Amino acid sequence: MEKESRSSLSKLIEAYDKRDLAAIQWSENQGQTVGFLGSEVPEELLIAAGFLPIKVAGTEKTDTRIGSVYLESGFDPMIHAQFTRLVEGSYSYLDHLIVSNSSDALIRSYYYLRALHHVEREVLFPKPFFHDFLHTKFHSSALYNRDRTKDLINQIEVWTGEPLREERIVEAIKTCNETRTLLKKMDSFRRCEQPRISGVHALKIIGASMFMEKVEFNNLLKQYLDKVSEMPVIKGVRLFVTGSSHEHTQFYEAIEREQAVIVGEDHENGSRYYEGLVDQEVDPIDGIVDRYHYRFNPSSQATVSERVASLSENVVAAKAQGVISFIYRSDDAPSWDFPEQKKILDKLGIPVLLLDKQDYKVADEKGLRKKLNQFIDEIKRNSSKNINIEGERND
Amino acid sequence: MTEPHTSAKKDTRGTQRGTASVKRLNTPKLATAYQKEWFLSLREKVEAGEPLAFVNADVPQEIFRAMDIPYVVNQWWSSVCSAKQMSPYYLDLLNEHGYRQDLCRYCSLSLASAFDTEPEKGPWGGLPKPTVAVTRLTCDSQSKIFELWSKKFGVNFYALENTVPREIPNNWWELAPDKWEQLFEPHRLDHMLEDFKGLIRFLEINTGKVFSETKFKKVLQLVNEQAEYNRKTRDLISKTKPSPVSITDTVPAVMVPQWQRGTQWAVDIAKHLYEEVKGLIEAGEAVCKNERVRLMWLGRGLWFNLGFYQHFEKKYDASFMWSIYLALASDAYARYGEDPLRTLASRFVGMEDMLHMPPWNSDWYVKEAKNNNIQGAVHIISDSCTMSAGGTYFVKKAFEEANIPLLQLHADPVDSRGWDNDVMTAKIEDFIENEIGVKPC
Ligand code: SF4
Repeated sequence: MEKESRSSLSKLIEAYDKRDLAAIQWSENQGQTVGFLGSEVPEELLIAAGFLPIKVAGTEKTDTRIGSVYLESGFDPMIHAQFTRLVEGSYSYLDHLIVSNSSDALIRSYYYLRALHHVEREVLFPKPFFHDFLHTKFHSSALYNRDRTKDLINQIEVWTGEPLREERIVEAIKTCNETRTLLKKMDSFRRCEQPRISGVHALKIIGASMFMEKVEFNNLLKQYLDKVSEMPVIKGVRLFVTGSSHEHTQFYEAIEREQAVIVGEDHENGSRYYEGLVDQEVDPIDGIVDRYHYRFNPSSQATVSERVASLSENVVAAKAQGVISFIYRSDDAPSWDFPEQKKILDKLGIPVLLLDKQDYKVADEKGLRKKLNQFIDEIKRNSSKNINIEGERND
Repeated sequence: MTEPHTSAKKDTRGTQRGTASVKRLNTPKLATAYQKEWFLSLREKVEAGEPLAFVNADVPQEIFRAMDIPYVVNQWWSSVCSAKQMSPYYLDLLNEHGYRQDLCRYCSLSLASAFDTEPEKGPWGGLPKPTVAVTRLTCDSQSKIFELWSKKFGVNFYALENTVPREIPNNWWELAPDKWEQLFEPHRLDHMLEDFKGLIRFLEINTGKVFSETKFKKVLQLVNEQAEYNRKTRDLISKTKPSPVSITDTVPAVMVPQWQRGTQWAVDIAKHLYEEVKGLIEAGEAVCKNERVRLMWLGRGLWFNLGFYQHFEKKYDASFMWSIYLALASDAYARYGEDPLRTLASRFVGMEDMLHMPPWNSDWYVKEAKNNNIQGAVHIISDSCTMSAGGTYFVKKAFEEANIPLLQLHADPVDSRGWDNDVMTAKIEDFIENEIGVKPC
């Protein structure tokens, strides 16, 4: 039985590691693929139209120098990696590309991608469509978001050449909600007293859902979760990761090599992806817009106090013994959050390690290991939790 | 004004790292004298119980003007702190409070000054306590800075949303004044209108002030008059060789009144600038009588070192005669329309696109370069600001296609701590000599 669960896990891991494979196969079978950048693109609508939505992402092998020809150093390295993969042609199989406004850097990337279509003779990615989705919780934003979602439906209908039927949307909502429910269930095996899923595996599983067909993903995850309670308990210091997002597992691996287990995170490729369900009892467009609008905001779109509140809530719920704030260079938003987040964590007696100005790939493995070791050892020594380890700065 | 501090740490207050500019015109002198007087009277008013708004540069200040709410603009205050050589002191304070060194220096000086335990020792007695703070979400850090700032003072803050266009217009500057309904997608204007109504209600509640529609219409009319004078001044300079003025003259002469727009004083000073420039031309005055190079300064002004440009005038007869400030004031502000609030929305809805987004900005730069007979452009890029990045690749490409040499430099416009005058001077000298092909006089 454990074997069966492992094989579903290895399929999920494969989908994560070979993140273009499913989409390329889908294309070869005459299906249309849509790449998305940003966390407000409603996958439900794309699935309803018969598309395969694929998150545009870098990998730890991406050579970000290509993206750096176009993007300035004020853009964080994850955007450099995503941009690189688009301009170098890794996504030439895409039929369509949608960008949403998850961050300033992403909005600017959209302008640049669009400008490339305007000024270059040859570009290797589809012309981007912008899904303008506002984050303030004002009523005017909610109405704006509804109208922009209708614009997106219109665009999808242009792409498919036929009306997007409501029953298809309802069906897709069900599928995506199932994904979220299953991922939430997976999360409970991380947050519980005796975690059985590592942070690395969790990150890969969550990521896999963005790189493969959802029904297939749900089946694999169900199989895995059916048996997960039989898996061995993972021992180690319980850590929570905040700050920038992670689309490869290098950093998670580095942490979990040091007798620690990541029991939660609040970035876009972590729990935020499956946070909140689409209400199936209401008008489907209302349900979709509200789900994407009312989730907790990513750092790039939240105020400091929102981030402080959501971090302390999440850290307590995950029973974390320590927090690591990992921030890419030029990712300004989490850097603004950190000093106030540290204050609340100090109050809670939860130590925090700041790893600031990080590169896309772990650059100094030895140095990182030393910092992690020190931090984790300190937590172990102070099992009373009432300790305070100063965050390190790399300024 | 209080005496300067004497402790070791406070010695850094006002450390001289740049040079002030030598002013050719009287208008900037009048403008800078006025802004000090204006600020001191604002202090008095606020101390007497008037509300004070602290706003970001891209917030519709016309609304505050129509409501008689005194306001201070974040970036204006940054430029004042910077010109007074106080940015190193303030930014160090910010770092001491846990914020990293290179975090948004252009927009965080006011927040940094709020950490000062002796705020009254800031420029002109420091910023008075505000009643409200208003920003616009044009980058990820704005809501952070403004929330932190407003919490520091225990006041409410309002964030205006920012929307993104899907269409790329041709020659936006031709459509902006009267055909803005064509230039901007209607849903963006509709949303901004709603957002402005929300802002007005927020201000009514938080300041007790009333929005006067009559005054508002007058304010809009005054802003247009000011913009028309700026346009005339820009056109005059652009077609005059040798250039009568440099950006050292025009930046303060345009930017001080820009923050006072919607007043008769701002119109008068814009008119004064126009007449003074015209007078210089008639008298045959010029920055470099034997002008050999006309240069553009793309990007934000070097606020702590406005005298920087004068070196090149002397050494090469090269005049930095174009900056975004006068040009934007000429092309991006004037708006004519039936519905006053929607007309105002049209001034702000695309401001970010025009300034920072390719191809809106790159097309406009090239159009301006051609109209001004520019021979070289220096583009300043602040690495600590995504917003100021402005599509450097596309700007470079546009200039290459137009056959105009371009030098891209990395520097922060307000933080003098990282500025190396010799290195920057050498780079520009090399550019003038080897890219443009002009040797020292
Ligand atoms: S990113 Fe630029 S515009 Fe935004 S707050 Fe920072 S310095 Fe200011």
